[in-house]
Formats: sequence, C-alpha cells, structure tokens
Amino acid sequence: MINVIASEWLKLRSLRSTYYVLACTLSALVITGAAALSISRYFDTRGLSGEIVGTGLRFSADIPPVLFGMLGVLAISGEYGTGMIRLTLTTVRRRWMALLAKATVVAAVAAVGGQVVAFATYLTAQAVVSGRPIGASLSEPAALAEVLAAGAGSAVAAVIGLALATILRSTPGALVALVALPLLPAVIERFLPAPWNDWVASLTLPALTRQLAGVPDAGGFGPFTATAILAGYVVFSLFAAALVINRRDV
Amino acid sequence: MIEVTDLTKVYGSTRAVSGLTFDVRPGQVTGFLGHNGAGKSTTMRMILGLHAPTSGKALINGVRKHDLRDPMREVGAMLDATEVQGGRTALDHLQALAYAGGISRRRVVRLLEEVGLAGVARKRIAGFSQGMRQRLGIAAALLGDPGVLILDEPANGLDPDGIRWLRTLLRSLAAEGRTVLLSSHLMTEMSLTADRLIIIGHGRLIEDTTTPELLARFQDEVLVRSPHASRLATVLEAAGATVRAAPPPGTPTAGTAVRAAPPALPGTAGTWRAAAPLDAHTADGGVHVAPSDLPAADAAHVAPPGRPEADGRRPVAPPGMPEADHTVGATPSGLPGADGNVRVAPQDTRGADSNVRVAPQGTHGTDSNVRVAPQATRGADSNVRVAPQGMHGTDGRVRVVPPGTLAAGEAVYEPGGEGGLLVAGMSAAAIGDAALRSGCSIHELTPQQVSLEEAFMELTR
Repeated sequence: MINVIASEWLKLRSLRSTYYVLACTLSALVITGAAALSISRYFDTRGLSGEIVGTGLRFSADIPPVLFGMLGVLAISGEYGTGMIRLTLTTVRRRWMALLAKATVVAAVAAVGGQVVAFATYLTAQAVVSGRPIGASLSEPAALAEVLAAGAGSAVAAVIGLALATILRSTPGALVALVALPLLPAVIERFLPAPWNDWVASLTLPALTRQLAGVPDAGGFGPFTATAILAGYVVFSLFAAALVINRRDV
Repeated sequence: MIEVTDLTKVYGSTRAVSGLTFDVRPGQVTGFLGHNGAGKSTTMRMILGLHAPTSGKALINGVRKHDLRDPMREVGAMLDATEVQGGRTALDHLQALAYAGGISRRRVVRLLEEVGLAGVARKRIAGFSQGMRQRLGIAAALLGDPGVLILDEPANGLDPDGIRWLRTLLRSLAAEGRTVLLSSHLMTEMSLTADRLIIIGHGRLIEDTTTPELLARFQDEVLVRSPHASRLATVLEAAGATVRAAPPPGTPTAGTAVRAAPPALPGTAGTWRAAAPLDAHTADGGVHVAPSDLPAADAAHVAPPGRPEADGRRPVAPPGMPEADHTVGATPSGLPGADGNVRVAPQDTRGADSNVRVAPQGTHGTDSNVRVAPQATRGADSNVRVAPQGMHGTDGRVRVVPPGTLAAGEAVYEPGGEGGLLVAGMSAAAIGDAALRSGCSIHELTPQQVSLEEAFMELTR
C-alpha cells in the first residue's frame, strides 16, 4: 500500500495541472485582501460601527473547497480521460488500493495546502487591517481554531472531488458536480421549515468547517457533530467510489 | 501461462466474446489475430481483470488477475500506448508505475535505455511520436520483469528498426520461458514473430495452431525452374503432383493462385488445360486447340515422359510409368479448379513437335474463350490464355489478347529459356529427389510463400 501511495504521490507531483490548481488558491488571498481593505476604509471613516474583518477567512471560504475538490477530481479524471486508469489498475493488487492511495495523497496535499492558504489568508487580512482593532489574533483560541479547521475542510473537499470523479469518470462532469453540490443546500433550505432549513444550510463544507472550529453563528451544529458529518462525508464518498471502481469494467 | 476457458462477454445485446477457450503457453510467442471488433482487446482486458467476464474464466499462472500476489512481477501489459497522460515526462511515468510495484529506479533507467528513450526521458510524453509512445508502453509492460506479457498491437507506429528490435525482444523473452501474447494487424510481422496463432472472429475461436502449420496448410505449391521443365513435369505428375506453368518472374502469383483455385472446386469440369512444351524449341510453335473429352485424358497426357535426352544426361529411370489410376486419382485433388486457370501438362510422347494444346474439357465456366496473349501481363478477367509465339488456332474461340490484359494468377507459357513449374501436392524435397532420379537439373526450387495475411483472410472470411 505504501508503494501505491508513493506512486500516486509522484503522479500528482508530476502533472502541471496540480500546480495550476494550487496557484489558483492564491485567489483566496486576493478576495480576502480586497474585503479587508474595503472594511478598513469603512473603519477609517466611520469607526467601529460596521462589520469587522476578524480572521478574514470567511470572505474567501468558498474558494479552497472548490479548488482542492478540483485537485481530487483531476487526480483520477485525467486517468479516466486518457485511459491510463487501465494501466494503473493492472499494476495494483486491488482496485480500491489505487483509489485509497489517491485519496490519501490528495487529502494530505489538500490538508497541508489548505492550511497554508488559511494562514496566508489570515496574514493577508491582518496585514491589510494593520493594527486597526477590527482584526483577530491567533492568540485568541477561537481565531486559531478557525484557521486550523480550514485545512481539514480542504482535505474533505479533495476526497469528495476524487470520489465524484471516480463515479462520474469525466473531468467536466465531476467539476460541474463539485461546484453544484455546495449550492444545493442553499437552494433547498428556502423550501424547508425551521429548524430543517438551518440544518441543511449548515451541511455545506465551508459552514461545517466553521462549525468545526466553533465559530459563533456558523450553523446549527456544534464542533463534535460537524466533525462527525465531515467524517461521514469522507467515509461515504470513498465507500461509494470504491464500490464503483471495484465493480465497473474499465 | 494464460488459460482462457469458455470466456464470454456480453455488453447489452452484443456478444463481444463468446465461449472462447485457449491456452497461451510459456516459451513461445503467441499471436492473437482477428479483425477489428473480433474481441481481441476485450479478451485481453478480461485476462487482465479490467473487464469482468459474463461467464467463463481467464487465468494468469493458474489464478485470476485479481488473485495475483505481486501483479507487476507476474504480468506486464500494454493495451494501448496512447493511454498515457501526456503531461508527465517519460521518466516520471515509468517511475510512478515502478513505485507501485516496488521496482527500483535502476530498472526504470535501464529500461528507458533498452527501449531507446534514454535521450528523451525528461521530455513530456505529449511531444512523443506514436512510435516513442509505443516504446514507452513496452517499457512499462516490462517494468516488473514479468513472466507473462500481454501486448496489444505493440508494433503500431514503430519504424522498421523498431519492429525488428521488438521482434528480437519478444522472441528472446519467449526463449527465456516467458509467456508472450501479442495481437497485431501486421501480418508479415506476425508470421515472423509468432510461434503459435490464435485467430478469433466475432468473439469465437477460429483457429488455434502453430504458424508453420497454418502456413503449410495454405502453401501447397513449389516453384521449380528447370531447363528440362517438360520432362520434369511429366515425372512429377507421374509421382502424383499437380503441375502448372509458372508465371514469369515478377508476376505476383502464389497467394492469388491459391485463392483463385480452391482445391475444393467440383471436379475438373471447366478446367482448362494447356499442354505446353516448356522446352525452348518452339520453332514451329503450333497451337492446337481441341476440346478433350474426359478427365481421364489426364493419364494420356501424363503418360510416357519424354525420351531421355541425347545430351549425355542420366537417362530417365523407368519413365515414371504412369500408373494411370494413380495419376487420375491425384489430379483432381490438387488441380486448380476454377475456370480461368491453366494447367500445364507435360508434353505427350510426340513432344518433339512442341505443340501447345489447349484442351477445354466438356463444360467450362462462364467464359470459355481461349485467348492467346503475346506477353504475360495482368488483366481483370479470368479467361484462360495461353501464349506461344506463333499460333494457328483451329478453334474459333482462340484469339489474341493484347499485352497488358492478363488476369492475375494465370499461367502463361513463354517460349524460350528455361521453364518454370508450379508444383502442388509434393514437398520441395520430394521434387528435388524426383528431379535427381530422373536426371533433370533444377535451377530454382522455392516453396511458394503464402502470406499469413492470405491465410488469415481465407480463415476469417
């Protein structure tokens, strides 16, 4: 299994698309920076009467899940697209091993990458705020937790993306699904009575990430439930993908 | 060792593979032939566990692919060399696969050298030609030094050097006791590389045989060039062979002739026989065209061979005293049957006068014209033509055909020089022996190569 992970790690490293996707995560810094700048201007003219920047993560919270999800998609959809999946699957003892190895690699890369992006976003926001009392300090446990939870959210997104691509076997299909799925709760919640609407809205990855960190008003679940739901996402999507990859002709 | 037993694959309403059973043995190169869509790739995928059989099983070294402990070291495969991610370098591609099998980097580098890609190891595969991808695919298949190799169209896109390299490689891998299964549409290459052939059509097994056996089955003619062609022909016919005049060198014949005249054609009716002198003395060059009555007339034609020549050569041994029944019995079997074929029988006893006789036998096919063509060239129709120099046909159906209109596979007699015979029903060795016994010298003795392509087309028609 370690061998297969080493193989998948090299595969991920040796494709340029990986670096393009990672580079795109920098857009989160730009968005948060712009938001922080706008709020700082407001603060300079109106004082503390408005919104504060805090860690700055929430302004770009939708970006990392989509991009790291894309990383997961590309890790296998490229192989389906070219047919290389056949070569990959002949070299492993069990098909799910290839899937699990890919999941391990993309989750690890997304966790580290997501964490780096989270810290960079935080630092960008604080740099823009530059001393105004509208930022947040990592010495506050809540702020640290929010930044640390971002890596976990990215890792889950990557696994979901991988699973979607394994099931759909197509890059465009998986990407559309990846972008559409988080929008689904927002659509559904409007038609549901309380408290269901809150719960459904709380099921999106960015919401769960913040609930994981115990950010106030982030959603209907506590950190423990949020963790369980995120774990459930991972287990369910991997299980479904493993079932499909084991059964289907390639 | 690959064992395929009653393998069936159904996609929806399509039976891609249907009850296929064969073994691929170690120590040999086994060719896997079939038209596009015959089920080759599907079968290979099932052997590799990529497609689940609807029924039956495919085993590698006695177990399913699924149950191989160390798949890369037991089986190597190249299904489609284009199925790689072009963004990677050749080295990364191979190295990634090597990691999966716990294979050393040294092996990767060595293989890149062996397949001739060392110079482009750090170039992206996207820029590779088809031949380079093919080499990369072969390297990937060989990574684990596996005992079983499955290669789908490995020669595609390789240059002549590459094809030769591949042939040598596959043959040496088989010689080491490995099992090699390869499919290819390059029939010439396949006949040079494969020891065994498995031919399938519409998902079913058509043939499981050795290459020499298959070729021998379709290769029943031997080209003989001899200055004593007519005498030799008599001797050979007496020995039971079927002899016809060989087209002049340079005319494609062997395969065409086999196809034009399947031995199973009914009887000798409709067969044109040209009793042509093959010696040089056509001074008179007369042509008699006369319908002959019965196939039994064979015996008469084959009968006493020419008298021993007076040039000091060893006299002919009891001149093949044609056991008439033997001759007649042997004739139909190897006789090129269809109308449109000319069979050249030896001269009869009056040989010295060198007449060419064209003898339509009772009923003949659609067109019973006998044409006389001054030159051997190829044309479109299947008329029988005999071409001596001067001729005086007594039969109204003889006419002269301008050059450039002779059909492929036709036998043509050209006066002058040595004579060429195409002998069916006798091995080259037997012909050589017969010639030696009868004192005829031989300038050329060549078993006519029927290409694997011809045999394949014949089998899968």
